[in-house]
Amino acid sequence: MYARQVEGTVYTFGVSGKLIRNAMVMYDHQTRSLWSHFLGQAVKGELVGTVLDFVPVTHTTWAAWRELNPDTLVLDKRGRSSRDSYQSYYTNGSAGVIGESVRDERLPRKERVVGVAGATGVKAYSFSALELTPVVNDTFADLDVVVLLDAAIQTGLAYSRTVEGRTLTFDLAPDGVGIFTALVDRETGSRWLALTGRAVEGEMKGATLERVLSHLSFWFAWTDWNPETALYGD
Amino acid sequence: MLLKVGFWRGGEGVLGKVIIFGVAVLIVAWLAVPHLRDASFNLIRPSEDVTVVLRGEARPSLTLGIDPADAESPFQMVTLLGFDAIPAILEPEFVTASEAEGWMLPGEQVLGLSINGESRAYSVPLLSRHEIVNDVVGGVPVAVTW
Repeated sequence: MYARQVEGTVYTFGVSGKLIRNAMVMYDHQTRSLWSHFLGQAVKGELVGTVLDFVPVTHTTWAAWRELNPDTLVLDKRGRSSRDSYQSYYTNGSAGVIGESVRDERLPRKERVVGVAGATGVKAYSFSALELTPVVNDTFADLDVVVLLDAAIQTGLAYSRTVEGRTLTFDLAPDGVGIFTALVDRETGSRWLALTGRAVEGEMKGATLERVLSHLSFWFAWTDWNPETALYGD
Repeated sequence: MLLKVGFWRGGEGVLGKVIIFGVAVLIVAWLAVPHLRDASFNLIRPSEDVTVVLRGEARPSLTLGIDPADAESPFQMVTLLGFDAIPAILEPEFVTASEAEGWMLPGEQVLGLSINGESRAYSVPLLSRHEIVNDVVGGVPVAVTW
């Protein structure tokens, strides 16, 4: 998800039908430059090299999103069904449409990972490792990060553990808040909502953890773009 | 000119005129509709490898192993479909959460976005059909991508 305004000009985007390393290539209607969805950057045409600002998005279920944001608007489906045309693609063994350029054997191709980017390196946290350890407090590439799997809604999230000048250490709270998974930090005992990163009880109440640059991705796609990636637990 | 005259002469009779009219419609449609033109182009050349060289200020953190300053770091681009064969949404329409309750499933995957107090939910199955939604949320123009 990206902001589509660059230096005062608003662009509209369409789907080019092209792929780079199995990831969508968009084009803008104003200059017909080509943009990599994965990089958020124009790779061909008049605007080559231009970078779009990244906007963090929450991947969750409709029930959870509505509970958190009762005033939310919903994109009108106009009678479309809830069946996903990519359903078999999510679970079959194929590496995208054009195959991967490097096969990294450390995980199965379609293993889902939370890929996290620090200033000087990237690291992947697999869903299977996070199912065993749902909250991982980690430090890599000068980044203090907490990576977690919210089992209730099957989504992975990554936050900076540094908040208001303190570096905190998180555990899964024994009880959730309503339908939501909660975290508790060892330093202050405050309770935090996993999905939003917001402290809802205790000394840190009102503070919000900052999302770090991260992607939910298949392992083959992550390693295709980041062949040098570190892997949690490796 | 001679060719044109001969062409028309060959088109005498009802059947000939119908055929010529049909061909003319196809040619005009091919020229006028970029979607068709791209689709037929792709029938002839199903895949096109283009080497893209990354220039300018790349996000180094997401392209580790690829030095953005390195002119030799190529991306292979492959053409599978024509432009707009998958139709992006340019003028999204929204309903309230209670209006959507009848057709959104509780466990349905969504991408959620909140900016400046405005929230949106985009159904992932719907995004799979369109891949891009051009929206303005809380005054910020965004491209929701899947």
